[in-house]
Formats: sequence, C-alpha cells, structure tokens
Amino acid sequence: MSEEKLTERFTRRAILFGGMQALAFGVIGARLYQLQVVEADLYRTLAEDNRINLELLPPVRGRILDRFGRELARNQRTHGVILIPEQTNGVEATLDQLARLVPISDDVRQRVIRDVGRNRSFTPITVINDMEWQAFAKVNVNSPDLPGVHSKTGYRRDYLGGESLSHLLGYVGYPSENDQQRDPDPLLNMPGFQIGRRGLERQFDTELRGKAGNRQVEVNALGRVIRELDREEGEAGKDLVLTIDANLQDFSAARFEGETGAAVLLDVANGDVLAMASTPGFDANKFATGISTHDWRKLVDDPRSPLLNKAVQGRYPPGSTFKIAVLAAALEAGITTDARKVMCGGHIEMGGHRFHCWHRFGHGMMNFKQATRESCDVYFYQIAREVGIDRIADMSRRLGLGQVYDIGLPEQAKGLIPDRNWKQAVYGQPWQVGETFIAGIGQGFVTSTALELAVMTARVANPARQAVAPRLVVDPNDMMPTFSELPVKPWIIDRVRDSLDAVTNHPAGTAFEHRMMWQHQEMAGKTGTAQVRRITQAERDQGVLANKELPWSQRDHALFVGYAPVDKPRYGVSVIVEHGGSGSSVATPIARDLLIAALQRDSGAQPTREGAPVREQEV
Amino acid sequence: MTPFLRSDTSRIAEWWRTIDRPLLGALTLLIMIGILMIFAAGPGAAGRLGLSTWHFVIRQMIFLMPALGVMLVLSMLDVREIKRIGLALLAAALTLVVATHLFAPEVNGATRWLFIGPFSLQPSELLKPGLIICTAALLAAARREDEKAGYVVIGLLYAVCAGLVLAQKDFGQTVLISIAFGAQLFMAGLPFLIVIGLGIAAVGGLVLVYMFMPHVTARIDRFLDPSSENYQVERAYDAFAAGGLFGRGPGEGVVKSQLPDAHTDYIFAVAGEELGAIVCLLILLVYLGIMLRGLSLSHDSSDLFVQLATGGLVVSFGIQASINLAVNLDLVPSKGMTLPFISYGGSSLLALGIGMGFLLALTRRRLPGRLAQPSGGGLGGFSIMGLGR
Repeated sequence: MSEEKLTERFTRRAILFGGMQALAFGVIGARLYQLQVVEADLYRTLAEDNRINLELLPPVRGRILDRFGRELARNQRTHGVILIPEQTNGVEATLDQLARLVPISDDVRQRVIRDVGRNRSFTPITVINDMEWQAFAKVNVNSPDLPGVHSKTGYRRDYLGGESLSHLLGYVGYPSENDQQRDPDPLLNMPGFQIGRRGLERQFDTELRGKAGNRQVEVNALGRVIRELDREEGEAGKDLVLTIDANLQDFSAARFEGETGAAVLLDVANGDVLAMASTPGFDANKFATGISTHDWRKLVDDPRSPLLNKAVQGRYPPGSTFKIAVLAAALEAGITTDARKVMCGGHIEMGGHRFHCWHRFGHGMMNFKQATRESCDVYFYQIAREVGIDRIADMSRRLGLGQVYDIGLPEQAKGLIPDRNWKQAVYGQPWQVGETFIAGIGQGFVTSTALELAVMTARVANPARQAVAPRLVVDPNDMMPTFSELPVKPWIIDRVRDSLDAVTNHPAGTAFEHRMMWQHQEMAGKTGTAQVRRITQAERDQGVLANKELPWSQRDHALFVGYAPVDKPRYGVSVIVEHGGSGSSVATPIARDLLIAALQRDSGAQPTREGAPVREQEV
Repeated sequence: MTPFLRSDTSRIAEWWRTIDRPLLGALTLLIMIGILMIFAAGPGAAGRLGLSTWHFVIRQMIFLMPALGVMLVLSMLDVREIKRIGLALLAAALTLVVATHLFAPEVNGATRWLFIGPFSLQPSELLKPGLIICTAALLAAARREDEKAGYVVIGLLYAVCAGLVLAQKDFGQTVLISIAFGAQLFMAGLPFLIVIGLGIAAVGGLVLVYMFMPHVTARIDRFLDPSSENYQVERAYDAFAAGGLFGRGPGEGVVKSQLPDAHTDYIFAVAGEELGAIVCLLILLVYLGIMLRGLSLSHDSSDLFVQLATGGLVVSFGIQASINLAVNLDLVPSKGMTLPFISYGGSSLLALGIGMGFLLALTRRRLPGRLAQPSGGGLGGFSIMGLGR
C-alpha cells in the first residue's frame, strides 16, 4: 500500500473518529440541555426559595387595659446581648471580656459555646436575653472594645395588675406542638413567640396577637442575608379594654385579708364586671418568663387552689342566698302572700325525717319579709314544698342562675339548678319531696357560682327591670349593651327588694350588724351560710360545733349577695368566703366594703372608648 | 548576549511562528476555566474534609506550574525529540508502575499512588502519553518494515501496559488506554475485519472485567438499576437542575458542599450549578474544538507517525473529557476519570501537560526544510530493533 493511499485512509478514518466524537459531544450537550433547561423549570421555584427568604416580623401584642385605660398587661422592652462569632476575636476571649462587665454564669458560657459550634459563624447567638438597664448600658458603652457583641431589644409580656388579676388575664407562654398543629399561623413556629395560654390572653389571643409582617431578603447560598428586597409591615395586636376597674379589683382581693374565696362586683344597670376577685392569686409574670417546676408544683398542690378562678369556676351551695329565688317563685305562684304566715318551731317533720332551722328554738310566726330578714329555714322548707322544685328551678333560671355567661373567660363552670326531669335523667330516680325542702334553703343539689349569684342580684336590683347579663370585655362597636325585660313581674321584684332591705336595715335582720352606714347610703342583700358537712342528731343533741372548732375544710361557706344604694341601686355584689364561717359575720362586711368602694370611686362612669395614648410602634 | 541565549530566543520565536494558535488558545482557555472552577469547588471540598480552606486551590496552583512548564518545553521540540522523549517516558512510567505494585501503600483498596513528600504521583497517568507516542512510532515503523512482527511487538506492549494498569484496579484508565490504542490501530489502516474482531475482543474483555472485578460490577449494577440511589449522581443531578440557563453565579453553588468528589470527578456538576447551561455548552465546544482541530491538523501532515500520534493524543483527550462529562450527566456508570485541565489532581495535570505538549509540538507548522523529510527510518531507535532485517 502506498504512503499516499495510507494517508488517504488515515484521513477517512480520522474523520470518522472526529464524527463519532462530535456525536458523543452532541449527546452530552443534549443531556445538558435536558437537565439544565427543560428540567430546571421544575426546580425553579425551589431555587428561587433558596435565593429569597421570607422572614416574619412578629407583631407587637395588644395590651390589656382596665375601664379607665390603665395598663394591666403590656409589653416590656427587654434588653439583651447577642454575639456574632465571625466578628469577634475569638468567642472565649469575648465572653471573658463581657464577663468583666456583667456576670456570665458557667451554664450560659457553655450554652453559648455550644450554640456557636452548631451554627454558621454569621448567625447571632443570644448571650443574655433580658438584663438590667444598668448592665445593658455598661455593655453598650464598652461596645467599641467588644467586637461582635451587639445589643438586642425585644419584648416581654409584663403583668402590672398584681396577683388579683391573674385569673382574669391569664398569661402567655410558648406554644406546644399541639398549638402549632391546631393553629396554622407561621408565627407560632417562630422561636420565642408566645401565645395566650390562660384566661383572656388565651380567649382573645387572635385579636391580641395581630398579624405578622414580613420582609423578603436575598440570601446567598449559605443563608447570609445580602439585602432586603421588600418589607410588609404587620398589624399590631388590638388592645383589649376590660370593664374591670383595676383599683376595685385590687381592693376586692385585698379585702379578703387572706381568706379564700371569690367576689364579683357588677354595675347593675349594664352588667359591667367592675371587679372579679378570686383568692388566693398567683403571679402571672412567673409564667410569662417561664415558671420553675418548684413554683408550679407549689401552685398545683395548694389546697386553696390559687390557679382556679373561683368566681366562675367554683361551684358552691348558695345557701340562704338562694331564698331570693325561692321567695320570688312562691310570690309568683301565689303561695306566699302578704298575709301568709308560717309557724317556725325550730324544725319541721316530713316523712319521719326532721328538718332543722338554724334557730334551734324556732322563730315563731313568720311572714315572708320576716322570714327573709331572719333567714328562717322552716318558712322556706314549707313554701318550697308547696311551690315545688320545678317552679323554683324556673324562677332561678329567669333570675340568672344555672347559666354560663359569655364574658370571654375560658373554662367557666355552670351552677346546678335541679328539677324533676334532671333527677330522673341523671339518677334514674324520681324527685323526693325531702329534696325540695333542702333545695329551698339552697343546699343539697343546688350549686351556683359567684358570677351567677351576682347576676341574680343585679337582675333584682336593676332599675330598668331588665334581665342584665354580665360583660367583662368592652366591645368598641357596642358600648352600651341592651337587655331584654326581666321576665318576672315588677310587684314580685318589689317585694323581694323590700325583704332584702330588711335583711340589712331592720334590727332583726341577719346583716344588720354589718349594714352600710356611709354617707347616708344603705345597702340591701341576703346572707348565706352553706353547710359543707352533715350534722348528725347526736351532735345536735350535744350542741352543734362552732366553726372555729372544726378543721378548715369542714367549716361552712360564708356568702352574701347585695346591692347599693337601696333606693336607686347602682352596684351589685356577691361574695363567697370558702369555709369562712357565717355569712352574716364574714361575707357581709366584705361585700359592704366592696359596695362602698364602688360608690366612692363612682366607677359607673362610662369606660373609655380607646385605651390610652397611642403607644410606641416597633420600627 | 551569549550565542546560546540568542539561539534560545530564536527557538522561542520559531515556536511562536509555527505553533497552532487556535489550539494553544483553546488550551489556555480550558486552563483558565480550570482555575476558576478550583476556586469555586476547592474551598467547599476542603471544608468538608476538614482541611484548610485553600488547601486544594494552593496545591492545584503548585501542580499547574510544572504541568504548564512541561507543556511549553515539550511543544518546542521537534518530531525526533518527541519520539525519544516518548520512549523514555514510557520506560520511566512502566518502571514506576511496577514500583507502585511492589512498594506503594494501599489507598481506598487500590495501589496507584507513589508518595513523594507531601505529593503523590499516579504513574499510570504518565503511561498514557508515552504509550500513545510509542504505539504511533511502532505502527509507522511497522508499516515501512515488517508488519507482522511490528504488530506482535505493539500487541505485547499494549498487553503489558493495560495489564499493569488493570492490576491496579484502575478500570477507567484501562478503558482509556485501550480506546486510544484501538483508535491508533484503526487509523493506521488495519483491515475492517480485524478491527471488528478487536472490537468483539474488547467487549469480551469488558464482560470479563464486569464479572471478575467486584467494584466495577457494583458500579455498573447500580447504574443499570433505576431504583437504586446513588448519592453522588443524585447531587450532581440537583446541581445541574439548580443551575438552569445562567447558573447561580460563581461561588454561589450549594451542591459542592455535599458532593464528595466536587473538586475532582464531579467538578463539571459544580460548573453546571454555578455557571449554568450556556457556559457548560461553551466548555463542551472547547473540548470538541480541540479534538477536531487536532484531527484536522493531523492530516495536514504527510508523516504517518505524526498522524497516528496526533490522532491518539486527541482521541485519548476527547474520550477522557466525554467520559467524565457523561458520568457527570448520569449517561454512563461512574468511573474515576478527571475532566482534562479542570479537575483537581497533580498526576492528571502533569500527564495532560505532557500529552498536550506533544500535541502542540506535532501540530506545529513544519518549516519547509523539515517538512520534506519523513521522520521514519531508524530515528530514535524505532526500527523495531532490527526485527525484520
């Protein structure tokens, strides 16, 4: 084969190779196109996500204000220190320097070093979350010598009302995993974000929380923010205005002077809850900053249940205060008339069973006014029996017992107003006449809450004879609530009021000793002493033990419901002192003082429409 | 000015006049892309391996200098010198490969590296350009003298080289040597029947390798089984998809911090993510351009040795690039093969410098005086040791 031919063949074959290689590169190019152009579209959104991050800007939580705009819950600016590792000359050295200015515990030091190790070097690490202003200022003054140390300000929920308000306001806390699943708001996934966990904070959480703003930031592949592209301000949470008068609230709780119990003070005209106390209280701030296990156990294990809002969650036998409803029912049924009298001999027999009056030797002949003022049990056994439980229950409900009122508090209990159907449904047994006797004096099955008793009082006392319902939160769109007419005849109410007037202002009345004598104002009301134990015949024979001789948990509950002024009622109150003893001596003075305080402060003024001055916005 | 210096200057001037500038330009461009890519992928890989940030970047720069120096010096030589150096290189590389078998420690289950101070050398890389030059010289000599004996010598030489490299479990390198060798035989004008026979033999060899080399079996099985997950391949896939048309921008890639071989075998995936499809296609075109330019220059020459050597060098270069690219794009099963001038690796760079130095030297425009004389007959001892006489 000649050289020339060989060269020709080489050329042909080389071209073949070139063609094959070109083909191979063509295939590779096509594959590249498929991956990067065709399929890249599928990944496009993903890639954009990586480049642009959406960051939430948490809104400032709304405040909670009392009826005069006094702050009950606010957001306290917190001052803290963060550290950006990449800007420091060594994290340890910086912490040493910082420790010369503010104390840094070994725990904090270890946590910071651990967090630094776990994050990218440009991620800010919190050193101190909340510190004294003095210390914070010290760090700031020295900041030129502390590269990588920056100040951080945030917000902490601050409860100003003291322990007396904790049951109403509740508190905020970090959301649980359950909360995060139930509520899709992305704010809940933000570290450090708190939601309402109890009380009004929980019930009105959405309104108080506001709406998150956001900013779009461009980040590089490692997540470092390069610049802000867009910013959308959120909406701060709305302030919540309560009908509560913080001073009255304080006073109510304080007036219990260490006793356990509940009090509700209402404006009888519009149902505004001016005070709703439950003692003992607890410090909500402990919850906002994270309560220790020790403190938590102490609250939970306390037999006096400080965490319970007794005013709406505590169910108590109303005792003789229930006689208001029994009397109204008897008047309506025509069983009690002005002329009707009952003989009280200290007890009454029924089916071989003896029902005792609190007055061992009997009151003698009683009409309804006398019986009410002296709280004669025999009289009420007798008329209750004649009226029957169903009509008593009906009247009780019309007066506001046995109901839950939507005042914005979660977990409210409902008192029990028994009747024949109820007994049959729950126990599968017919109602016994003896049970009517006991119900007639507010014992046995009958229970009610302090709020229900306050509503009953307000309905009796309401000057416009309306079926008042309570409210705790002011609706800015409906400043003056309207109520329907009370479905009880005025003449009945008038007679009840007369009787209640006698309780406090007639020398024989059970509350006469602690009647109101303040600037010629008078109150009316009804005492109640609710037994929590059964008194045996043997004990009766030997003489009933005085409350002082009994252990605390077996003493009687002391109750009083009332209103003032007697002629033109403005304020209604209910007071329950758990195991306090006699209603006339223990509960009455508290109730009287609350009414005086209310009259003194003239809280009847309209609540302010807006809370207070425009507050500072987070920038 | 000494005469030596003057002659030296004239040599550089002649080099500049005769060198093929498109080829030189394309290689320079590749080297520059390579520098850019090691800056992009090096720190990430170093960070993942717990090395100092610039470990790979600095070392690659250190490797580049001798590789470029060797390339430039070799490109100044004439055809005769190339032959001699090619033979010497093959001899040296074979010795080193044997030494590797005897002395080298095992790394990742293979004995491929000799350690010289802080650096390691993979002699099988150097074998490639040496074998190509020698095969071309022997084929040219055999054509003139004794075909049969020539082919026997060539066959033995290939068998020894391929056997030694395969014994190092370096399957990719073996394939590359074999393809270049086959291409040279084919271009030398071997009858088609024999070519087909050799092709069948190659396929048979592949089957044997698949059956008896467990790591090859595993890789191929994994590639063929669509349900199996291959971490590297998937990350590379993500990288290309994330890059799109224009890429995330140099240095902005994410996948490189997850890809174990981002700085070596999978550097093209990093390029795909950071530079995008357009730049990647340009890189493809540069490789293809070098190939086609080399092949077209090869038949400007009438010297069979030059043609075969050029063809072999260009084919090995092009095949190496296309196999690496195909692996990156999940077109063929993964095998250890670098992307010429772009992947990190000292031995690879040095071998490429030598190979491309040879290519540049062989594709220089011949001066009229030198062109006339065919480079055959006894030059550099390539008369097949007097076998046919």
